[in-house]
Amino acid sequence: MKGVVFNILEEMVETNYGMEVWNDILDEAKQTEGIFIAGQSYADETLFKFVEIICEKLEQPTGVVVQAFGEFMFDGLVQRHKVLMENMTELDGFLKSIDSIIHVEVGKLYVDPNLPTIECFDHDSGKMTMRYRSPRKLCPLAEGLIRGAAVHFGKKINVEHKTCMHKGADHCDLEIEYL
Amino acid sequence: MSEDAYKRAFKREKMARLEAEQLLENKSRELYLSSQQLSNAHEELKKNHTELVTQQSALVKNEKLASIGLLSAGVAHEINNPLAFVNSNLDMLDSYWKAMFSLYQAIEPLLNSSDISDEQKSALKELIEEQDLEYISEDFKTLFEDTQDGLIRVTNIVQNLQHFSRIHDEDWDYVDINASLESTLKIINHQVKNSLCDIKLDFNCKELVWCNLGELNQVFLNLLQNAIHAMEDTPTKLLTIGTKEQAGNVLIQITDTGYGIKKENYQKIFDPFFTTKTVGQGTGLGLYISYKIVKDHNGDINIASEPDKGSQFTISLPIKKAS
Repeated sequence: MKGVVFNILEEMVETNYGMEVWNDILDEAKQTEGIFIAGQSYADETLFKFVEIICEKLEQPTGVVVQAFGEFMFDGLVQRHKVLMENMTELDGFLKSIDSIIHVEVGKLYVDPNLPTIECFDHDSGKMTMRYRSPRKLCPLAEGLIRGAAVHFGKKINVEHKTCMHKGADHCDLEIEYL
Repeated sequence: MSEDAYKRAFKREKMARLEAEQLLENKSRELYLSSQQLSNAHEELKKNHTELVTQQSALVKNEKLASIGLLSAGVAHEINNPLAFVNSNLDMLDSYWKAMFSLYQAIEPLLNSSDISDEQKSALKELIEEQDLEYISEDFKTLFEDTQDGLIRVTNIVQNLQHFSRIHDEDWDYVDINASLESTLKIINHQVKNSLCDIKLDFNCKELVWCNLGELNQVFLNLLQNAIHAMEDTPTKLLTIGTKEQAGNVLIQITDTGYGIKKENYQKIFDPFFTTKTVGQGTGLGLYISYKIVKDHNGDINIASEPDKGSQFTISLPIKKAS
């Protein structure tokens, strides 16, 4: 996982709960000094450990915390990569361009970014399914990011997790309804 | 120092870090794009280099072929002259032999007749035995046919060399392809007989075809001879020659049950001087010239072959003259 994800997680904790809480989490994790460089790769387990500690502290299930982080992370990424959002004017177009534009641009910045693959399918009903595939199975993070994107573009959406890798499928289907 | 002062300093540091990361990202992006450009330029250079190497090798090949062409033309010309009188002399020798042989056939019965004296019979018998005339009369035919066969081969080689050096006439007309195939078969009749192969003719083309008959005959000769050679050691020996019309073209198919052509040789068999025959058995020009002649006719040659099963050469030629 790239350091930028850790940086944004730190920001989220500091913003909502204060610097002390983040320090406590680092102490509890006992895995790192807490120095994360945006472009550097770090073990996925470290991030999962942080999330686990946060869940314990907040007494919230993992899915809820990860999703909330996803929402927060979207804004953090936009602040850091404004250039990528320059030509994005609406949510649907943005979501459909993640694999073909955003991930390609990210590939220019980071070596081996280990990005998930994303496919989008439109339905006659106006809904759209986003198919997510990643060995990390971070579908709640993807859902949070989608929600974060909706906030960014000022759109209201409903997201339904129809198929899930955590339930044995080889991909996740996130059905998005524009309200 | 107050807590607020630390917070302000922390925020400044954080902003500085974000700006530094931004700078790094911009540089990374620039680096990526430069690397892409370099990579593209490298690919382009590689492509150009490959093209240059190919062109260079083609140039060298052309140069070699031009030299060989000049040499071939010279050799063909030099051989052609003696070949003409050897051919003509051989025809004369054949007629002389026939005359002498008829004399021998007339004399031989005298040995058992009462028209000549016993002394004369004895002298005649002695002469026949001394000169081995009985054996000669039997062996001559084989010797003569082999010599003719050899001359045909030499003539073919010379013709091939002449074609290779682009010495050919421009005699075009509408021609009966079936008759042309039959006449070519007659030329190599002796080889066909020796090869013990069966011939199946399947002529279905009714149209006259616009072609240079002299050149096309050479194509047929090359393909038929190759087919016969290919079946020298195979148990089944069937040579099928077929013609048919298809979409304004005539298809001439020569199929043998020989040892076939290896797939890796498909591309090479039309190259000049490529041959799988042993030295002295083939010049490697036959198919090259055949290919050139067919291409000059705006046609095409296709091969279908299976090792140890046989080969099929399909010549496709436009029936009508191109307008």
